[in-house]
Amino acid sequence: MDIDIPDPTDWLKTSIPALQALETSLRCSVCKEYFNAPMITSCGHTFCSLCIRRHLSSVQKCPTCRGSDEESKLRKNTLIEELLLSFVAIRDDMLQKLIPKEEPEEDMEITDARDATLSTRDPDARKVEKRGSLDIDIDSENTDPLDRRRGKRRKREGTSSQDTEPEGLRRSTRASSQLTSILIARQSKGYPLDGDDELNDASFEPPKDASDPDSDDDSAECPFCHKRFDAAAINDHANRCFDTGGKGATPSPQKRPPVTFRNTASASISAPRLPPYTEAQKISKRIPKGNFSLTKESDIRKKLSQYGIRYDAKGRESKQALWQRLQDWINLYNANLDSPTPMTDRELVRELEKAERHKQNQERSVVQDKEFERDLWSKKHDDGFAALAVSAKKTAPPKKASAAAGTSATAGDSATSQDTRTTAEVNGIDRPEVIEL
Amino acid sequence: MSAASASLNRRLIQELHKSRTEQNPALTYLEPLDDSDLHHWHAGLRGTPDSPYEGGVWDVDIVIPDNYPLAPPTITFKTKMCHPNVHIESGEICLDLLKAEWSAAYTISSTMTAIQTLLTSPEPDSPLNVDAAALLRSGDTVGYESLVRYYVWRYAQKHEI
Repeated sequence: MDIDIPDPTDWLKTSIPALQALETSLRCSVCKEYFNAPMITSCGHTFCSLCIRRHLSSVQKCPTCRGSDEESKLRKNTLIEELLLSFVAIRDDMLQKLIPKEEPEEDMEITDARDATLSTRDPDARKVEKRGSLDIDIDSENTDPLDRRRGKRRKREGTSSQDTEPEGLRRSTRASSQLTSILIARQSKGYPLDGDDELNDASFEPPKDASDPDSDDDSAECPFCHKRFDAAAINDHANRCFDTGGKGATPSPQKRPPVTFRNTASASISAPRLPPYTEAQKISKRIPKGNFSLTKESDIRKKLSQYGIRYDAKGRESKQALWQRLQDWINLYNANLDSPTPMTDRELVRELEKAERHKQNQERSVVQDKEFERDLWSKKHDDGFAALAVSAKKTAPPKKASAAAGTSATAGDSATSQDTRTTAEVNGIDRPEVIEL
Repeated sequence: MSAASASLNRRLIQELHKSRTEQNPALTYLEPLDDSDLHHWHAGLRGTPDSPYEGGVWDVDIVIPDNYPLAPPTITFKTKMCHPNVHIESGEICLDLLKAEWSAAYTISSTMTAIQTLLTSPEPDSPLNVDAAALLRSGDTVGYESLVRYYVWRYAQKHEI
């Protein structure tokens, strides 16, 4: 089991255990992850956009104080977003320097310690904090947040390469090597935050996320030229790219576009990114929730197909199920509007489908239960397995079918997995639980 | 309700990690029954100090639904528990926090602390154990406390650590 997920208790073993409180408040109390597109409720509590939307669609109350709230009252919490950016950029560095046994340069540690303590009290101390712990930021630490954001936007449009280049060249080799060492350190730790397209995210995706069978993308994006490379080659490339001042270089972590912290490691990092939506765009694009009893089933279908979401065309899904899917979609969609790096609609649809697949997989777990009686089960469903084998024979290519044609439980299982892939038609009978004999 | 299961598992792993590094004083242990299934945990709940429940340790079964943390975990006592709001046979707990008043901001660990608090602040007006509740409602605190002590002594002391 992977317990290498960074969490606030990491700070307990450092010389300033109180930093745990700082990190805890930078995490959403619903998903316990760093805030992803933080939104503030009317009662003043902050949550990830998706978390609070999902929560409010089941109970219209704030998860923290139970004050009643509505989705329409949510507002973006920009300060938290920026705090988080700064914090995540220095977290690993800070953690390493604050672990007592490693004994870094003494004066360094003291500065760090003082700055970090400051930061627990005063959000504005983050700049000071940065100066102490991450040399690379010195050049740009005076940049005000607005400037930074403008910079990002320009870069997204691909016009910023010239004006950022001189800054990149000014940098010393020391900074360069430091940057790469951060990159390496993070990679070797298998930092599980999945980000979008940046050095401190794309590069430290865990090698294999057990909870996510879909992640097979081993590539990472170079933080300087934004080209994609194999994870093994990215360090060397980043080094070279930095030294040459890389086209469209991103000279400092502060100049980076905001990172998103999505929970599911997904293959979507390689997909195109949209610029963040403006407030006006958000308002015009938001999908209203609608009302279950006032919406006709055909309207739900119409809406689903309008967004390109699959549903059972033969009408075997209940109105409730369709409605649930539409609501899940609306939550995802509206939350995506708040993200600093929104995904395209197609990626979102993939995300939705992935969540549903996970859900189905979990329903299957009866068979994996410890007290599950294998023999009894296979006896009880013997006929079912045989029927499955027969139906697999019909649908599968000839040689595969002969392999699956057995009456034992294992033969039945392999037939099942084949069926899952072949058609959605068989979907109804490919799960053992569904068979009632 | 859709459960992005990957994120649910991540949350559970984080909770597990946290409970390992930060012991909850209300619990003797808190972990999944089996490493392969993060959705079924068990825990040892300590009796509240300075109460008739002091000294007892109860095994508690925790089942986590797919839409956790939007929905509360199902928590039942496995060791026999004598309490006005706990069913003596099934171990079911009557606590608003585990039903309507559940909030996504709670963790398993904080829920267990809440259950420990319930031990010393029973609600005899919505009882699952009518006999214990009747004793309390009639004001027989001495009788109630000795009944509780008997059950602690009889059932909940085997885990004494």
